[in-house]
Amino acid sequence: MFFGAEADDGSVRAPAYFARELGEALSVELLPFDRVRVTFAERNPHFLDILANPRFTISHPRHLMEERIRAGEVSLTPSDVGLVGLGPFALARYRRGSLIRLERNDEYWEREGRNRLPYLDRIDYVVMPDPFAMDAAFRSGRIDGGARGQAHYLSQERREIYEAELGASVRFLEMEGGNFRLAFNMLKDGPWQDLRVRRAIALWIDKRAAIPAALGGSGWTTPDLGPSNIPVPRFFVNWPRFDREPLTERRERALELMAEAGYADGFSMGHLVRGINTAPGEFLKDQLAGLNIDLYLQIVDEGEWNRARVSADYDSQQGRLTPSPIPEGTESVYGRYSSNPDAYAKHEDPQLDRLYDRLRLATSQDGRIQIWRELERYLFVEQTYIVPIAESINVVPYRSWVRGLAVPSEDAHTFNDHATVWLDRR
Amino acid sequence: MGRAFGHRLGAAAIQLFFASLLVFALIRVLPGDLALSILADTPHTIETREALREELGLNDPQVVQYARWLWETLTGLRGVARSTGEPIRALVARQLGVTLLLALYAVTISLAFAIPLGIAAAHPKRRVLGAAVEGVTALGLAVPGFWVALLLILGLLRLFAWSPPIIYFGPLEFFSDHFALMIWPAILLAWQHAAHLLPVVRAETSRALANPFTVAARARGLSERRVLYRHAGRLALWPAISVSGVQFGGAIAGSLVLETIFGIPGIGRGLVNAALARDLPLVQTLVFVIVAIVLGVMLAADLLGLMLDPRTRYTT
Repeated sequence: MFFGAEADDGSVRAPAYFARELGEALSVELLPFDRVRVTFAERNPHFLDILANPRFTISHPRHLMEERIRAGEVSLTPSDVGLVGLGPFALARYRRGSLIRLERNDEYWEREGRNRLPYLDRIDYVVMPDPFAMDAAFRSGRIDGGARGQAHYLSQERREIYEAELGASVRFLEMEGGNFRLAFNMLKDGPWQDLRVRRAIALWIDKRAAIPAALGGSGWTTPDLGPSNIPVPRFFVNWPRFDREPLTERRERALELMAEAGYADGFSMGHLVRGINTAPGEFLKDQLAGLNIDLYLQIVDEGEWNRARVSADYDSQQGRLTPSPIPEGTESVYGRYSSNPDAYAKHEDPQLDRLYDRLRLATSQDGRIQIWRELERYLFVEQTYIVPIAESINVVPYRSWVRGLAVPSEDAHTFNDHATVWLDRR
Repeated sequence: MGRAFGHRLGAAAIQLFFASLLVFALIRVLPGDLALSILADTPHTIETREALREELGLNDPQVVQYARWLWETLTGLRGVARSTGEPIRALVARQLGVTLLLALYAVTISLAFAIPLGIAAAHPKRRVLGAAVEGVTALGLAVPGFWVALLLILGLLRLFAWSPPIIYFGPLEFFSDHFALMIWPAILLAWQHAAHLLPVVRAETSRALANPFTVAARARGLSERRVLYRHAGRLALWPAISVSGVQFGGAIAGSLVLETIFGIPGIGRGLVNAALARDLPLVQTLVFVIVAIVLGVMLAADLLGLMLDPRTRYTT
């Protein structure tokens, strides 16, 4: 296991996304009996929690990959060398662009009661780039479950069609889908440098309207409205219980703040938008027009998006990754830009360093919750670097005979192993 | 014949050369740094980026880059796709075979229907058929293929509670599944292809029917059917083949979207995936391969025309 990258000068650093969670790694040593010793520069009382992050589960078989990478194949992936693992299924067949077939691993270690897992003999993952084709294949019975992916998650409209046509023979898996937000680039000059402007924008946006308009109809704006099968870690979810006054009151205050800041006639602000999902950007443009803000959408393809979201070139953006379920993990998206280039809001505010340091060092649950609340208030209200708008829900259809599915508790990336799934085709 | 052949071959080579220049230049005028595009989602140092630039040869003069790429492409599609790690030759062989099959099915279906239909509709007394052909032609030209594809899938679902297979198999693996998947996009492409072909066949046959030789044929007592299909229609064959050559390229281009909708792992979908992954060197090579194939098919159609219609040998 090695979750870092070795730089040319021999130093070791964790991948950017986890860099601040893990802290600085001084060394990684291979010990006898397949053990590894990782030495960090500072103590981290939540190290085991961080290791539990489901995003750490992909393993790269070094003995198969290292030699080829050193020979120049820098784009080598685990699937190129054959996946190595102890999971419930093994890769049996791979047809590029068409099919990934997994077959039962008879040596799998896990049991459910007295039963050996997994129950299924085979899973075919079919590559279907077009969501409409997936809908047709599902409705005609060619597939038992839908895909997990931005365009393939069901919108409310598609879900209603499924329900109308398939009735009780379809059910829906609802998973945490990440939040929709507006983040300012504080490293670039513009009217948004004025806190009153940022507050006005936060107060003006009709968050509830974002769910149908920007999130396909599935989402919530307070944890209370979330679907019951999403076990969000509520200890740490305070948001968005700020700015809970009626919309008309908030909007009156927003107009006052804009006038106080000298922007009653509005201004123009750029907004980075991912080409594969323009609805949130269009929603924001429509909303901010009410404040006389001309939000000009800078729609980019995936290549430019990957570059731009870690750059300070754009006035505002929505960010990409859902924060880690572990509070410390959110520093990669809420922390300062120089150490977290993927941060939603680009800022260099040392106060956030201090808050995260306190969070890392707090050892009691109450203490951690209190610091987290402070951090949220500072980020979303006192500074309003980020305007949280709504939380999306990813909806995946399954036929009713698919039983034993584990609903992912964090996000759609996790609990994909289908070890406990069985088919009830009576 | 030999001279005409040489002329056409030379023209195709020149076209291919200019196409290669154009493809290379177009990729270069796209904004952004290719190395940065490839590395953007990966933590990397400036040294790593520079090493990649060096590896890709981006620090060399443009002429050197062009010559190297053209040489590697023409000498067997050498190199590895950065986005998938697959050798480009294997990738093209795998994807191109699928797309060529699709295009072949489409062209075969369109020729099988458009030629007899176009000839029959050319007869002045078959006004209803003529109007029907015009309708089919107009729709084929006007309606976007991807939209009809979506309607088709929806129609199959609604009427028969059935949808095309979702896993692609080659014709020699599972022919029934292969056929059931490929027939729908092939029909859609054939329709668009026939929309170009039908008016040509019909117009050429009409012109032939106005020719004195058809009067002579009738005077010899030949049946109207024989005059139409055997004598007048025959003159429409060469333009039909010529149009088919051009439209074969259209079928490959049309497959870009249809392959994505029907889940067919052809070169069209490969090109879309490469573009989405910002694998610009692969995009460049795939576009060039498609251009080369289209030019090759057009050349083959020209040569076939030379054999079928001796008059064309003297018009170059």
